[in-house]
Amino acid sequence: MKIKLNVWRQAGPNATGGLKSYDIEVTEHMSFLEMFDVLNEQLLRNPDKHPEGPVAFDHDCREGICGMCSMVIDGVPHGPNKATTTCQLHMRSYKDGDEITVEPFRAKAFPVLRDLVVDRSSFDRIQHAGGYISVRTGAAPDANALPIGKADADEAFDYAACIGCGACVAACPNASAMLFVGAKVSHLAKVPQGQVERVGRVTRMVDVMDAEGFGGCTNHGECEAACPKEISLDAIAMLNTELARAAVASAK
Amino acid sequence: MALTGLGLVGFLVGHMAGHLQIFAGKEAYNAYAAFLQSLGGALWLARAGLLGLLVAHVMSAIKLNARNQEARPQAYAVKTNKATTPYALSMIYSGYTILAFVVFHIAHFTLGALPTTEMTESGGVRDVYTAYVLDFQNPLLFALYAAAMVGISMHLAHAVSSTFRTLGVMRGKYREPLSKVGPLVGIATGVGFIIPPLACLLRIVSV
Repeated sequence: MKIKLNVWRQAGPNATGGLKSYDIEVTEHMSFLEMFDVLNEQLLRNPDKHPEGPVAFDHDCREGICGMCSMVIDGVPHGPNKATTTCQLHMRSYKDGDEITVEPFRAKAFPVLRDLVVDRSSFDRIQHAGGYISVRTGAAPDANALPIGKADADEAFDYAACIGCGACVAACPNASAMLFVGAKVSHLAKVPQGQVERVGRVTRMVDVMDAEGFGGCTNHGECEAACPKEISLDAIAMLNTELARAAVASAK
Repeated sequence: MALTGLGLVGFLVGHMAGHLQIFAGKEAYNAYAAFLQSLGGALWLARAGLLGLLVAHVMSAIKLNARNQEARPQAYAVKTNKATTPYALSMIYSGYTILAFVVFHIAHFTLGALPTTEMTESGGVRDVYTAYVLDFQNPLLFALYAAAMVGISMHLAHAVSSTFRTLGVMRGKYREPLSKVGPLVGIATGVGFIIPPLACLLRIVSV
């Protein structure tokens, strides 16, 4: 099948970018990233015709668990399918003759490095501020040595499913990172291991989130719709509760 | 945003209930207006409180909007929204509409600074009823108010449920029911506010 791709090309962080069109022949079995592999092979084979070189894009596991692939495909991070990362999007979701526009995640806190690659280390810095627990290391504890209620365990697990890909920020009309931070804070707030650092964690993570230049949440719900791991908007309600709780606790 | 907004919504609902008394007739409506005027110090306290809420709400809205504009310096060439609503996306515009309307509304009724119906006295109290009814028989004035009510409806349709999430209560089993409260309050307020002027325009209520 023939696909017309409009791809964002940008030589470097400070270069001016623009959309460039490529015609490409793919099969329906290819993943979206394999299409880019094929495109890049074509671009590399014809350096005279394509002095801009291959398209830089992020990818790693290609099985939907690492959170490395990004891309905004026709205006939606990770493409049109529900609960799917870009690497798990296959060309069978498209038809012959389709035109697809591919852009990088766009946010001040996710600056473009090259083409479709953005720097998402702002998420790492938020995690460093509080997305961890401090424990004594040693032998692995026995299973069920630390009882956790079923409902709490389930909820914590759902929040822990976040792979930190940044699709929530890319989809948000305000480029807000509230769903990501909400998932990380809520996950640890729901398990006993997270209790000791609970109060300081939420304020420190939110402070870093604000300092990194993410926007503020205005409850559009685009993050939840774009999330490949279906993190619920409840994470944002929970984050707000945790913030209020921390404010009360630290005022004591 | 949420706390000040909630306070303002509380006022709106009370304000709407007050105006629906137009259907109770001239004496009842004028008595209600006279009662509000008789509050004296409490009235000024309420006015100061409302102004404070409004200023805080508008200031934080302008700040939030500026922050959100800055957070995405380069716009998408193609952006497809899957979940949001037109009224959620136009909050700042409906907000400015309401702000402009509030200024106009205070100039109109509270200050009487517009060349509309002269306020007379009836039965020893100010005849707010007659002024109100005659004013809304003016289609232009009615249209202006109707347009503002569309703005208020749209604003509240997103705002109220949004508030519940900000306050942390709209999650789990409460998510579905509370997400419907916003649009319901939005529609109810818009309709509730426009019914009395509409009744005047259609001469269902007359002097």
